[in-house]
Parts: sequence; C-alpha cells; structure tokens
Amino acid sequence: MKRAAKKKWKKIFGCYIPILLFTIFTIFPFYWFLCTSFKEESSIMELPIRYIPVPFTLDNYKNMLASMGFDRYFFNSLFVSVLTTVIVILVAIWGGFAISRYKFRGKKFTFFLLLITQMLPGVVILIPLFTVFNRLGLINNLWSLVITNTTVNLPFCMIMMSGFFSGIPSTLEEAAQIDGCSIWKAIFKIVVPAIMPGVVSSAAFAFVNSWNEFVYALNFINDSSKFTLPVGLSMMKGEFTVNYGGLAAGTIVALIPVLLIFCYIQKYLVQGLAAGAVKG
Amino acid sequence: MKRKNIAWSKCARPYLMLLPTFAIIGIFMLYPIFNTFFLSTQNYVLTNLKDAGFVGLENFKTLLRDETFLKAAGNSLWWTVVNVGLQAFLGLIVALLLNMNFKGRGLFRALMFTPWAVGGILVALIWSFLFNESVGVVGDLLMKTGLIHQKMSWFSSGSTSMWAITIANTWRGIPFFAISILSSLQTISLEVYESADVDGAGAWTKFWKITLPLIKDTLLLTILLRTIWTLNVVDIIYGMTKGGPNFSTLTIPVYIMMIFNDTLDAGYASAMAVLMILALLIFSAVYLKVGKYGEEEYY
Repeated sequence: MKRAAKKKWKKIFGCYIPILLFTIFTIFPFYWFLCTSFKEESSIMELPIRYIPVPFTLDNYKNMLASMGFDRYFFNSLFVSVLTTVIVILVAIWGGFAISRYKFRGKKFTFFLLLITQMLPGVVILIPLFTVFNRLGLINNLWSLVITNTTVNLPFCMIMMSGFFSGIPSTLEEAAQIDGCSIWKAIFKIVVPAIMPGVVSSAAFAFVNSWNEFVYALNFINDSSKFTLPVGLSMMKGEFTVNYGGLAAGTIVALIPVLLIFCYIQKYLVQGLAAGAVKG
Repeated sequence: MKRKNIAWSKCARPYLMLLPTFAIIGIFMLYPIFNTFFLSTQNYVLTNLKDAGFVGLENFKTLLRDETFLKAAGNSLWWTVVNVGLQAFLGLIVALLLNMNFKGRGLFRALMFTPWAVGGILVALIWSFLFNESVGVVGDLLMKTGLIHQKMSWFSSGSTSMWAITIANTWRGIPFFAISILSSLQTISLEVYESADVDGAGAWTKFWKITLPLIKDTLLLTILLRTIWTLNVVDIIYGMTKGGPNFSTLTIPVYIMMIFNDTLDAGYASAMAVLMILALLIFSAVYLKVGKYGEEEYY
C-alpha cells in the first residue's frame, strides 16, 4: 500500500508536473498572440496586463483583411509554397526511387552529396544566387523564391522518400511491369500510392519550409506587392510604433495552415526522420 | 541490336531519373558555392562593377581588421554553444518524458512539437511581444514572482537581448531534438531494461549505462546538424534585434546579409561566407572524430 502511494507521487513529480510545465512553456506564446489578436487596440497596451481578451473583438482580423496588403502576401506565399511543393515532390519521387531501387555507379556519391547539402549554411548561397537571378532578370519575381526553395528542400525530401521506397518490396512494380505497364507508369500508378504517408510528409515538409522562408524572400524581393507573408509581417513591425493587434491577427492567420498540416503529419515525420537516419 | 538497346536503357534509367535532381542542385546549389569561393577573391561591388577584378586575399585581410566582424564571430560562438547546449539538454528531457507511459501521451507529443512548425520571423514577432518592456508577459511574471522589482527593458542592453533571442530560439529548437531523440529511444528494446532491473540497477544507472550509450550516435548527429543550423539562424535575430544594440547580438550570417544589403559588396560578404564554411568544415571533422561517431557497438 505504502509502496503504491510512493510510486504514485513519483509519477506525479517525475512525469506529470514536468510534462505540464514544458507544455505550458510551449503553448503559452501561441495563446498569448491569439489572446492579443482578440483584444481592442487600447486594451493591448493597458496595464495591468489582461490574460483574457475582455472586451472581445474581431476588429483586428477585419482591419487586417481590409488593409495592409495582407491578402496579397497570403496569396504570394501560397503561390510560392504550392509550386515549390509540387516540383519538389515530382523530382523527389524520381530521384528517391532511383536511389532506393537501382545499383549504379556514383550512388554512394549521390547520397553523400544530398547529405552534405543539409550541412551548408543557407546564407552562403545567398549572394551568388542573387547575382544569378539578377542576370536572369528574376529579382522581384516570385519564381526566384520557387527555385531557391525547391533547391533547398529537395535533398531532405529525397532522402526521406527513398527511405519510404525501400520500405516496400520491389515485386510491386515488377508485377505491374509484367502486366504491361511501363516503369514510369508503374511508379505513379502502383508504387506512389503505396507510400502515400511518405509523399504526404515530404510535401508537408517542403510546404512548411517554403511558407516560413524569410531570408531569401527578404533579399530577392523589393517590390511590396510581391512580398511573402513572413516579409510582409516583419515590415509591419515598425521601428517605434507597432500595431500589435493587427500583427497578432496576421500571425495567427499565417500560422493556421502550417499548424494544421503539422498536426496531421507529425507522426509520419517521426517515421520519416527515422527512415532517413537509418538509410544514412 | 534491340536487346542491347533495352540493356542500355535499363542502365541509364537511374541516371535519367536523377537528372532533374542533379540539374537543380548543380545549378542552384553547387555552382553558387563555388562562386562564393570565387567571389571572395574579387573586388565585386554590384553598384560599381567597372572596378571589379581579382584582389587575392585582400577581402580576408580587411575582414580580420574589421572589429564588427570579430565581435560578430565572438557572438556567433556564444550564440551557437549556449543555444545548442540548452536545446540538447531540454530536448533530451522532453524526449525521456514523452517516452514514458502516461495518459494523453499522443496529445502532449503533438502539442510539444508544434513550435518546430513556426517560421523564424513569426517566432521573432511573438517573442518580441512577450519581452516587450511595458506590456510584456515575461517581465510581468518575473515581477509577480518577485524576481525583479521594476520593469526591464530587455532589448536595450547587450546581454539581456542575447538571452531574449536565445530563449526564443530555444523555444523553437527543443522539438527537433525531442523528435530525433524520441525516435531513437523507441528503437531500444525493453528487454535491455528488464534485464537491468533483474540486476538491480537504479534509474540513474540505467540512464547512464544503457540509454545514453544507445542514443549516442543520434545525439551526436543531431547536435552537429543543429550546431550548423543554429549558427545559420538569421530570421529570429534579425526579426528581434537586427543585431543590436551596438552589434551585441550580431552574428556572422546576419552580418553577411546586412553588409550585402547595405553596400552590395558581394566580394567582402563572400569572404565572410568562405570563412564560415571553412570553420564549419573543420569543426564537423574534429567533432565526428573526437565523438567517435558510429565506432562503438553495443550488442
């Protein structure tokens, strides 16, 4: 009896309380911006701080949608992220399949190259890429961001995808080929549907990263009508005055897509990381 | 003849499938990297290209006399070591907690991983507000608990700004460590622990003698990746302090970007990038050697 009680206390102090503390630390910043986005502008800067949004208002969201070019930033971000994701997935399916299924000269080197790209600081390629896009006339063009995001996200997605391909037997596409399918058709009709979790998590990874990307977007785009969300939001934080209500509302709206995606795929992501690590 | 064709096409197939990858990575990643090395030896100011040309190591010499650069190098070291250390320690704790059996584990796991999905600039906006001088929650809570007695202006002094951005970055960085370590913890079979229980090993002994050695490789690799990514952080620092006050939170990547934005001096900025690549390469090699990555076997 006594031992059971001791065990119970141990569980509470060793497990539940720390978990709860970490969860509060993790969640509170989200709550705080959500709360701020529902406050009236005057009550945001008022003391003492109110931890509950009373009086409650949706004005910040209305103002944000009506002005400040927010809808435009949102659309630009969507354009860049969706295109990046589609290209990354198509290229990563071919490449991942090749790496997982075939033995060929330079396979080790290819894999090594993909891993090495993960270790390169992104800011290193910023300047040469700027000069390249400058020459191609792609500065102030959203395609420069699509290309850059594709390049940056492709290696990891491919490593992840090849891990998933390795997880299913090659008899699958061989059978389809015996039935008269070409290899290209077999991949898309038979193999890809079988590794849908892998495709979804790679796609989500590429989408979330492109959606959040800031440094390239800040440097390659000067025209405010072509800003993406992160750049647009960062411009709203002025040097001295900040409209925190609008900023909070904008941040919440910008967060919604990635958080939804993330909740959906996070269990696949753990698998995917494990698959990539095992392969490497 | 036809058979030969088929054999050839089978042989070429993997290369054909990898062609788009090689094209994209080659043109937009490898070429730029080589170009960085090339540009670092050039006088190459985008607004003044008629004076462009080879200058040898001139950029590097200027760099070593540039006090702001030296300051940024020191800041980068502090930033990387403290951030990675904090994240690794807290990430390990979170992973161990989430590996326990308790009700609602799935929900807590999902909640605790969410900061990873938040973009750096959003992290900066959220935490700038939390650290706000007059209506910031951090200051308010510290006052309520009696740890400080008057409002603090976090971003007016160098050391408090550094801690503010470090806390923001740690908030986002913990989940990555937790995810990697957790996925590695879950590969350890329970039998190992059971046989240790039979031998009467306590929780600490089990952790030091079983858990830690078995997740060592994951931990080493995660720390290495995270070190590189942390050094590379621009958005959080730029979004919260822009390197200020008085360059006290300026790190090398932020400086590279700001120099390039202000002066369009691609040569000088590239020289900095080259030094950063070299430092990282040397660090990675030494780190993997000293950490004996992948050399030990336990079963």
